[in-house]
Amino acid sequence: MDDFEEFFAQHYSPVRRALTLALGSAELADDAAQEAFIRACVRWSRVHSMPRPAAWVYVTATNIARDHLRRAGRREHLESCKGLPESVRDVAIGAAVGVDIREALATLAPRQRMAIVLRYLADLTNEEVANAMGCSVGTVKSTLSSALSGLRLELEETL
Amino acid sequence: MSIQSLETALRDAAADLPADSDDVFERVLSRARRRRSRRRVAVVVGAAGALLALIVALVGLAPSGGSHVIVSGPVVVSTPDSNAPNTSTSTYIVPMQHFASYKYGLALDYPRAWHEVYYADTGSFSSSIIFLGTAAIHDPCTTTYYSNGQLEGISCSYAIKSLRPGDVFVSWFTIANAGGGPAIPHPNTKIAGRLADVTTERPGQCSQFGGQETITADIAEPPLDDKYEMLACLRGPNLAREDALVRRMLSSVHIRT
Repeated sequence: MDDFEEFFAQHYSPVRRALTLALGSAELADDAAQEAFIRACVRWSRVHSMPRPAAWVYVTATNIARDHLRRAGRREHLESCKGLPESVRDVAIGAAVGVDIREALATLAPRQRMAIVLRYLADLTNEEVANAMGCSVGTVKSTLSSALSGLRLELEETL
Repeated sequence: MSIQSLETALRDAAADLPADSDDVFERVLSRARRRRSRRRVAVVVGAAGALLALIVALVGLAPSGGSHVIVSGPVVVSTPDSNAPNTSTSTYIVPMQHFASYKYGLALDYPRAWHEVYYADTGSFSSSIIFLGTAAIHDPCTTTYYSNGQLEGISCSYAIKSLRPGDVFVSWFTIANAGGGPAIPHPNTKIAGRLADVTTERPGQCSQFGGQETITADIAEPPLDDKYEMLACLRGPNLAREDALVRRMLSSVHIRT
């Protein structure tokens, strides 16, 4: 299990931090990340042999968080793969420029935020993001595209 | 704003978040150990139950001539005879071969006339266990390179291209559940004491290879909500016999937790 300890040391903090940014809740991110690493530890021989064990943990943690939110009845979070309402983009366009990345992320819909964080911070592939979010690769691409449009407007003055 | 600057900004924002608590690794490890020990208890209880059931079966059968366990040997397979009235059946003696994957805890018997081929087909959430059958089986994965020799990627598909008349193709995979709900949402039977979902379609997805019948079996792998996934593609003229052989294989499945 030494290599699990090494894996944990290398990936736990990035997973927890990415989930915190994506979910906007440090508490939920902690719980989901810990549960994902517990599951990875229990089945370590199998997870270890996967080509990208860290991707498995990200996807598992995201699914755990999604299940939690679903059970809690917060259906607005990551629940649906339907297209985003225009009003979400209107918010992004209307927001003042000069905000930092966290404020810019906060203007995105939860699903957009999750897609951006998993794709560009966690470095998951589109397929892995789709697996984490329970939707198709095509939906991930369109979600990322609309999220990037919103972020560009938010951040063009600051980056 | 470029993607690179977005990635940098995200990394900076993540780095600004509060640090992890010191004892988190120990907490994760101890909870994982507790969960593993619960699994062991479940296995011991399950094994004791199986032993008891075997003793009861032996005692119950002894007066009528005793009983024996065939791990791998000839079996009798009866199928409806398509050339005879509905009540008629055809009976075959089929020599069997044993297969066991210690890595994935799966063991089963399959007809000796089938061949057994292993190719690594490993994705983020799935791993091939074995490919079986009479069909021509090939490596399902293709590695591609950029013109400068750098690895571009590996793409995997099915391990067969087509089925000839009388062919059978069977693949076994293990699928890791990534927390997205139960492994077998709609079980309709049990295999090796595990919840399972066995479906038969004619022709089903195997039609793309010339198959006339598709049998799929998803078998739960608790307590982690993983599953074993079997796909069988069959092509006539002896569909009933091939179908019976696949079901005989499924009934022989043993799973070691």
